[in-house]
Amino acid sequence: MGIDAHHPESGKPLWNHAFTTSPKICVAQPGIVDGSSILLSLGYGLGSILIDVEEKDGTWTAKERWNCRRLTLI
Amino acid sequence: MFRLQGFSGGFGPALVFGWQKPIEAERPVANSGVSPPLSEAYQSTETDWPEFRGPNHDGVVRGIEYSETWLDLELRWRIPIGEGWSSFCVVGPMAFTQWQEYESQVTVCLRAASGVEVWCNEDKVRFDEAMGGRRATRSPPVALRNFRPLLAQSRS
Repeated sequence: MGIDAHHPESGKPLWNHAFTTSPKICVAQPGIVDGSSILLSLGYGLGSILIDVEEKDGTWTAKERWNCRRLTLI
Repeated sequence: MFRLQGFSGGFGPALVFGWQKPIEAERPVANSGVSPPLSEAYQSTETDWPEFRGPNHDGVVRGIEYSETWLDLELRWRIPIGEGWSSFCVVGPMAFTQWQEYESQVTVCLRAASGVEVWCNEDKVRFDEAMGGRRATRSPPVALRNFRPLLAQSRS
């Protein structure tokens, strides 16, 4: 499980970040925050994560800024 | 003799005869071999719908005029797709969504004006659960701010 990013014109994979949702629950709708971060709610009781995305000289990095079990969107 | 296909919205079991083919077996696989180059500049507009519930996460479409009658609506295109509960994201000339085909979940970029596939990305994962059904669930969000275009999708 995880999140993948692609270039929208070519579909080329840019980066990915692994995470685990609840068994049989898969509604981790990514939401964009401030244009450069992605908020993901992982499922019942698992909380949420915020991923910071950066691009430098064509290289993409995705780092988890925080992981909070108490913040849930679903 | 019967097979449990899933549960309805009222939580009643949906049964089909055992010899009936699954619906998905009749759907074509996305054509990943065709990817015509995009010549348009990748321009975002006020009426873009770049992520689930829109650019402001409030479900409001701005910058359009509503027709007072539905009679002048014309079907522009219709294409067969796989199974899913995903909606579309639309930015500039392109529309993105995600569906499930056989053993894969597929993220697809279509030309919004014609329905022609530009590219697709196939992940060899499958979601199949009695209560939720066979599906790929998300609307892939598109970010265009700060730096180059980015399309992100979550997968099972």
